[in-house]
Amino acid sequence: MSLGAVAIGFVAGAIAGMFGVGGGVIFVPGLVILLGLDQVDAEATSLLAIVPVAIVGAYRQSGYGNLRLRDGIMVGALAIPFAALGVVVVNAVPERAIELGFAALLVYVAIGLLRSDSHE
Amino acid sequence: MVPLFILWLGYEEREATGTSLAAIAIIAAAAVVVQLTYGNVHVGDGLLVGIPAVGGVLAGTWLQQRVPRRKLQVLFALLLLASAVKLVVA
Repeated sequence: MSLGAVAIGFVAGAIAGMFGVGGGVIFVPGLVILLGLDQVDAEATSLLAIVPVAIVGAYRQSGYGNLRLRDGIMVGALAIPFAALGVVVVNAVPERAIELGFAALLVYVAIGLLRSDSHE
Repeated sequence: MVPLFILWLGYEEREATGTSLAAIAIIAAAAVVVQLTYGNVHVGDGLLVGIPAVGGVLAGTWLQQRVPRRKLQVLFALLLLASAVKLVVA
């Protein structure tokens, strides 16, 4: 089981580094399916795992000249109240709705990936 | 967030991914503090996946500079679709 957790972590981190996401789209299903957390706990726990991933990812990207730190901080700071609001909402609505909403988010991200052009 | 950086701020794709990670760090940190007050965070499990993920992100940023991404995008998309199905039927 903990080997599964290590695998989830590594894959989520690699995807975060390559695609600029936080890794939650892998962490959350991984925590639910492999570690048996419920949906809301998995989302909450995934946030904790995302913090070091995003910091290290941003630091590495800055080494490649891909980080505009000021813009990143500004967007992040502006989003804080909405993130807090999101947490309150997630804790207030039925779990099944959150599961279905998260599944819809995964499908949306997947379609975006399949439609995007490769820049290489 | 990455598409918005590209569409609204005119970023090149890799700049968008790098900058979005900085914003995500701030947003996730704020959200996890609020989730902690609800008692929803499994700190041990978070560290169990979060620490190997740091190794993963180092590999991912390294790979991003070196490999064509189209196949990886398709694989990632399929993984997401499979997870979505599992969430809905589980």
